[in-house]
Amino acid sequence: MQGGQGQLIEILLVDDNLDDVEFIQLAFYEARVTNRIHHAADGEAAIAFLQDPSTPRPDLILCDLHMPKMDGSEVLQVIKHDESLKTIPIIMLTSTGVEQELQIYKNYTNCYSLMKPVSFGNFIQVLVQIETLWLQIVS
Amino acid sequence: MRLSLEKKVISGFGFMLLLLCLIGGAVYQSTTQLVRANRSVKHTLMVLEKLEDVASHLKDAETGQRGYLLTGKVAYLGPYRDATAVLGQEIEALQQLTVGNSAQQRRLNALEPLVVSKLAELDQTIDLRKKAGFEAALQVVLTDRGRLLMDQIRVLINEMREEEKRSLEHYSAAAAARAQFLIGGVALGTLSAFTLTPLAIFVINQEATQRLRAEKARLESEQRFRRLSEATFEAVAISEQGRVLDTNRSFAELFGYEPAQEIGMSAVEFVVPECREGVRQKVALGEENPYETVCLRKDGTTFPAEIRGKMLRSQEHMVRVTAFRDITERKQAEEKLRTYAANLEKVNQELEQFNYIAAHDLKTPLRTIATRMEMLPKQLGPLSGQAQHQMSRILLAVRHMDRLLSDLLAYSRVGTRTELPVFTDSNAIVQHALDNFLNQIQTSGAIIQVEPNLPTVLADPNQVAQVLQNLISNSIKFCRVTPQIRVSATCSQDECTFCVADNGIGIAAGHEQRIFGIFKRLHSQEEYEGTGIGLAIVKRIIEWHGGRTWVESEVDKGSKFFFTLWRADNAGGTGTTDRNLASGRQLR
Repeated sequence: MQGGQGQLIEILLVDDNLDDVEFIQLAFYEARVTNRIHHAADGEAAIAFLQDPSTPRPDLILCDLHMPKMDGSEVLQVIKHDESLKTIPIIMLTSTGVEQELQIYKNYTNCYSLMKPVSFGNFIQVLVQIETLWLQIVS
Repeated sequence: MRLSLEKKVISGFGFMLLLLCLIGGAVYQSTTQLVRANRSVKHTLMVLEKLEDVASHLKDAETGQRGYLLTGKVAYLGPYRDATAVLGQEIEALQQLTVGNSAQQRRLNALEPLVVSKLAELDQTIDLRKKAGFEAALQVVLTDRGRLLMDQIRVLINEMREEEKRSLEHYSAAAAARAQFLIGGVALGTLSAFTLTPLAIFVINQEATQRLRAEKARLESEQRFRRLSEATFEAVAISEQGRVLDTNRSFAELFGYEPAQEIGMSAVEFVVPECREGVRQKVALGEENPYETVCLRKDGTTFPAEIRGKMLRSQEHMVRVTAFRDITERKQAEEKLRTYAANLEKVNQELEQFNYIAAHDLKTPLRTIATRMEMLPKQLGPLSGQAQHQMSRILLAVRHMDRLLSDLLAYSRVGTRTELPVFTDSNAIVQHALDNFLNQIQTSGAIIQVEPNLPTVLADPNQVAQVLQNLISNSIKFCRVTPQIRVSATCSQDECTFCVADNGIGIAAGHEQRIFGIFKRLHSQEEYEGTGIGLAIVKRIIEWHGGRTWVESEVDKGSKFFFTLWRADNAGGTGTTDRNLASGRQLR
């Protein structure tokens, strides 16, 4: 995935499940997508990353919903109420699909949701969906 | 106009009094006139008598004169002297009697000189007889002067007599008339008295009886009301302009007063001070619907009450009849029910949360297992057929479990966090459902025919799309040939029946109900993969919408799945499709 000037985009992946983190990273690798992926293990770490001036500002955030300490919806609230962060597109990752029904995503611009797949092959499909979404966003 | 008894009596007696006065006045008047007429008759008779006396005395005087003239005997002069002695007096008496009657007076005035002349003539002849003898006196008589005078006198007296007789007739007639009138008046008065008195007695009696009866009826009604109010369990008070007029026993018991002790108290004193203004307003507005408030007993304790008042007319007063009901128990029951409902709601929420977390937390390890199982062959290198079989069976089981979890979650969520039903264009729902699993349709090569102009229904579009999706995907799944599926709907006045018909394997008789039960399946996983939840979800969603589900089927021919939904366009008839409604306008 590339930004406007052909640079690779920075992605922040927020997920406490290390298996899923591994799968997503592997899927990126398998799909030969060489974007820089930063990992935050929970919501608080994600906010700390976003507020740290020494770290790059992500172009896209992938965020799990269920996390200890600060969950995905709280992370979403914080980001969408922060003037400097609210323009960053966010894709919420869910396990059950139920969250998709929740109104919370509809209240914000540049906010999407995707269901985590049960097989690795599907992870790669999800990555394709992420890319499609990204293209929609930058266009 | 209805007069009161007093007015009737007064006017009745007034009328009678007036009548009696009139009759009395008339009788008095008539009597006076009768007396006067009688007096006049008597007077006339006296005049006539005097006239007769004058005539008779003149005749006596003349007879005496003649006797003396013929015989010369002094004895004849006796009557003559007697007559002449009284004549003057009699004429004077007549003059006095006829004072006021000018005609008679005039005649008397004419009569008097004639009588004087006649007496003078008589006197002259007697004197001549005495002095000059019979012949001399005869010479005077023969002059006829005396006879002429006598004739004139007789004429005058006759005139006077006639006049008096006329008067007599007149007065007699008047007296008779008066007497007649008097008799009539008295008779009329008596008759009136005899008629009006019983009439008055009748009217008074009638009125008094009516009054007595009304009073009796009123007393009876009052007693009946009292018995009724005593018999009722509700506390009842009657008030007028905010003051208690009367209460029943239940009222005294409910509020802790001695019977009749509360009479005269202000009606709002039975309500706690903070509720008084509200109650006052309701009374002022004539509120007749029951309302709740808090009541105050004599000992200062309070209780929740339901009050119902009504304005009634009682003997030309407007009174308010108010019933009080102690609703402590009801309130407690309500409170209990509220607590129970709140607890139930909480438990429901917890269950839902539990379902959600369970599904989520169970899915996460499944995902890891499945993904790692997939990745494993790469690290292991080429596997034996047996090992590959094992691996694929594990993966199948994991995916089945994942689907089970998803379906269970979907099933448990029906009706918990859904939107209220809205006006929904079912054409759009069908399209939405088909779009959701376009891949599966395309892979299967199914031919899906959707009848045009499906109706507008009251539904949650997402849930009904789920129903159609489950039914259509079932039809595709349970089919050995190219699936041909037809979606249609028919409407009655209130509801629409949708039908998803297929050419699939059908359902054996006797299983039509079973298939809608959760986890109920007719085939093994090897034959047809599935969780046994799809139709249970369909049934649950349709029931949540107030509809019914059923199936008609023939083995190897196909099945028809039916479900009903409330019709929303029954004003427009079947087949009209309003695109605005498809966007899901909220009903309330």
